[in-house]
Amino acid sequence: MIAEIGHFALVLALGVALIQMVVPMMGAQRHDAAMMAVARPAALMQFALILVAFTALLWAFLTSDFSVSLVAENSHSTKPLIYKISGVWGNHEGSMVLWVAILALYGALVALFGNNLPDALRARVLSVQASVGVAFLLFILLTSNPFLRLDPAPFEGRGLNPLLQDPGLAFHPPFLYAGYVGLSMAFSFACAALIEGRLDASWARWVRPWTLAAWIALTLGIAMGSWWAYYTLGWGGFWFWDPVENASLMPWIIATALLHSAIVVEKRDALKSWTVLLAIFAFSLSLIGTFLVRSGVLTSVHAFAVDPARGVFILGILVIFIGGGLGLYAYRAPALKAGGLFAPISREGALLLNNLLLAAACVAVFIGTLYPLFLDAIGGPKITVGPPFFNLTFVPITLPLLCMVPLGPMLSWKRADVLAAAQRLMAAAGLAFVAGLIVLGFWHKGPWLAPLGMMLAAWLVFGAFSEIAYRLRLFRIPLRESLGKAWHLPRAAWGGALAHAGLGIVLAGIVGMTAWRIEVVTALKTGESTQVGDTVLTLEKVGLREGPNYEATTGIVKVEQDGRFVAYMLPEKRNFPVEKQEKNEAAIRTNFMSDLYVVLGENNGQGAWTIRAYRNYLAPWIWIGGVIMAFGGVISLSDRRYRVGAPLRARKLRLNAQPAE
Amino acid sequence: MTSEWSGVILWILFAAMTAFVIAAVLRPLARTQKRSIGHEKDVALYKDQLAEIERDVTRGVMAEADAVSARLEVSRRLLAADDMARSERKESEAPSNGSWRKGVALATMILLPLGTLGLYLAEGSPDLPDQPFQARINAPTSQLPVEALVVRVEQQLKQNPDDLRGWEVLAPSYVQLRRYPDAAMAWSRAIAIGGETAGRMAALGEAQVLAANGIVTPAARKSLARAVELDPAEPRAQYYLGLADIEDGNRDKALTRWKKLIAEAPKDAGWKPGLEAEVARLESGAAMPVAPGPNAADVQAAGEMSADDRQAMIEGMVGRLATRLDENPNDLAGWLRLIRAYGVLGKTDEAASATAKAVKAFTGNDDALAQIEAAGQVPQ
Repeated sequence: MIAEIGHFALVLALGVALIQMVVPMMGAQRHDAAMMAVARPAALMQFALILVAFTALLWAFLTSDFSVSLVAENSHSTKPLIYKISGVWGNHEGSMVLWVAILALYGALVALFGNNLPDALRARVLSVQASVGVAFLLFILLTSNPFLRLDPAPFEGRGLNPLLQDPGLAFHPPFLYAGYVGLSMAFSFACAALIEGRLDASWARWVRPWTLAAWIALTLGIAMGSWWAYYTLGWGGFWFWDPVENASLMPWIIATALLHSAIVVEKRDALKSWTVLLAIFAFSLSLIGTFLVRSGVLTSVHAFAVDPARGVFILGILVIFIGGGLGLYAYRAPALKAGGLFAPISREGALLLNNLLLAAACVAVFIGTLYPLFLDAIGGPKITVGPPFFNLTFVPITLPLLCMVPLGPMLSWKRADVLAAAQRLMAAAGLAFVAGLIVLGFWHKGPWLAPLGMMLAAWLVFGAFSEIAYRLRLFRIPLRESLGKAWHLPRAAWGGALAHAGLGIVLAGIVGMTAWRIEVVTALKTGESTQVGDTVLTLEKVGLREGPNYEATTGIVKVEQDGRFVAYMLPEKRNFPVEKQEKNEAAIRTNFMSDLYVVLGENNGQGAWTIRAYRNYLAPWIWIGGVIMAFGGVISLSDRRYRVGAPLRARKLRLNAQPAE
Repeated sequence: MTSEWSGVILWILFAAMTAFVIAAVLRPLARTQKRSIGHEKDVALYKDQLAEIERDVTRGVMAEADAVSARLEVSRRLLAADDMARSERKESEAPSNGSWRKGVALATMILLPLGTLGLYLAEGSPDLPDQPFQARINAPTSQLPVEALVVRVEQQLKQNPDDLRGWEVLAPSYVQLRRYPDAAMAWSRAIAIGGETAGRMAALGEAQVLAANGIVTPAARKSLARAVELDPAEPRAQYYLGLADIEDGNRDKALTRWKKLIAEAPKDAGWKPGLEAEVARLESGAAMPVAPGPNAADVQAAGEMSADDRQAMIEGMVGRLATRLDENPNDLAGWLRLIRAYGVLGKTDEAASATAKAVKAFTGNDDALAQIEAAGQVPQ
């Protein structure tokens, strides 16, 4: 019964989404306030119904109701609880339900907290948002229905791919989807503005928090995905330029560009047309990303053809939304009033350069990801585009961008004095140089690029600090006054600086990991030892351990440093009998400066076990930096300027207008 | 609650959900809406921006000279927005047309329930109750199908993994459900607990053969050999060892083995007539049961077929093996079987090409290459 309620709710949600798509738009075109007002309850109802459907599906997974076909195919009664939960979105159908649930959640948030939006804009935004919902609900109900039943029901399910039975992977799709789907808000705002023919500074201020929220989620999602790849794929890589990863990186790059260009629209009323285009592209890439991962195109173009109904539907959705968005842009963008002009050397000039470089970087990733698929589709040779391609394209584009990052926030709007800005950064440059020298001193045998990379990373971190220091007039006025200023500095400034510093920390992690990692592959009998850098690993014992739904071969590895006992590490090989698959579980020991990473391999038949061990310098920094970047986003999101616009609030602000920070 | 009642409740719930949603969505149409003016909100924002410029100047992010022009720019936008707001206010005072709203409301009230019902009934199963796992597993034994009993025995064995009888019950059930690798695993557990007996070793060997799609793998041979060591008259083990002989191209050895088995068999052994027929066929030089069926039923089916059909079936199996190897060429044992099978079937060209492919797949692995070469020479 519960499964059927979920099914019915999902169908009803489609009806509500249709109403939400048509009625408010009609109201906005006809200036009918009542019809526009339908958007709000419709958005809330749509979300409530999809939530009911999602909960029903979750219930079916939790109770192992194998009469629901999706549960029978993707779950098993002995699976641990959290993987029963994550099993809901560990498959195509369920993940699509999660997708529309998040989509409807964003719509509901606009309905609840969009008080500062003009009615007509809100109605149009929710209408465009609902059209995305309609497309996806139709896709789910017609081609990927998660509520199909089996009668008679099988007694046991087929289990979940062991690779997905992992906390990191279990919970990164919701973040990733929150990011992908959040960009639909930017898309809806862009389309609404184009339909309305009105795009101004206030629009940018309204669209930015939604983009920022999506960006935060996407940043965390990508970081979690990369972390999962690091600890689970068994050799400690953190980024593989795999199409699935690229599919999430591309919208992230464009969202980053959009965040920066929206500042220019807001502050200077310029770059409007470009910003709208970015908003459309950001969501288009999210759609492509969703479908690349979910449709099977990635495994092979032929798998795509196996299920033509789905494939054609997906192509249709892509064509309608990307084509529709771009068509609308071509038709209406010329009508947008061009904003103020600006000198090339200014804050806005720097932001434009940032946008161009980010766009170029995204194009590089796009070509590297889709060209092989394209070749395959037209029957050409099967090629793979690996890290060398991206090292030759993506890296050279991003390097100048990274060099510029600390400079941008130091430039003033309209017309800037580069020399003055550079002077303010002298300290940061000096510190970065010293950092490079120190690194060179310690690691003079390593690759010569490494100290330069660390110098760049330090430049980013110290540059971010200098910006804050400059704004607080640190060391130029008494410390107490500076601290007082710190409290009043706009949160957006703190957020921006944190995000930039986080980027530097990520960069340091990447440099440390690629330049200095130590790798040892050897076969050890129990009792034998090997050495990784200054650490001695001894394989004490290999035994069997019974997990909830797997059997593990566990190695007990003693870690010693300078003859002193440090810890035991327990790398495992897990065998999942239901799914008939094996999975390696690396043991990782971190001290936040480096990771010791041990993998238990095969038994070579002569009593020795293959042991692969790595010392990954600065590896944790990659993810710590990612979290800092996301945290910067959160701080920035809490900036009060996103809450003004509502007349009441603004009046109150003017009353308490404090004299400067 | 009887299922009839739950059906009624389900439909009442559906109706209530639909009614509630319609009421909530259409509510704004029934009320007169006060409309806030879009450009009024712009005005508020630009005023805030002006204040921000002042803050920027005091903070030193913007030079005073630039601030003058920035202020001018924002003020210009502010005036424009204020203008728009005024004209919008005039516009919104115009009365709106009620017939559109009525049309929308009516369309919603009719189309939403009908459309939803139609789409739901197309794929929904309102009569099917939920079947949560716990409720099903606790049902009386007599109502449970084999697979449910298997799950229950599995659960008991998880609690008490040393229950020999449990494993011995479970293993044949697995075979019945065609879960051969599980059957092999269950026999291994039974052997680990209860020790090696000819019967268990033979059953393990059989499960291993079935798990490998009817091919007598080295592991299976080991188990079968051990069974025969314990009891040379163990018929199942002798039968599968005969198949292994044929796989190796050693037809005479298989014949001797099976004939001896028949001669020593008790008169009423159920398997005797089948094996005699097999022996007769083998002696007549008909196609041999190389790469026997993926399961016991298929092997039996092959026995009942005409020679032509049997040939076709065998070739089908060999073909499947070949396809599988093309997809996954790293399977040395598979290549060896395929090459031998082609040899036995007299397909020398195919055997040669399979040998070439296998050599390509294992270039650099001298040990494997030697085995491949040996396999290629057996039938000649």
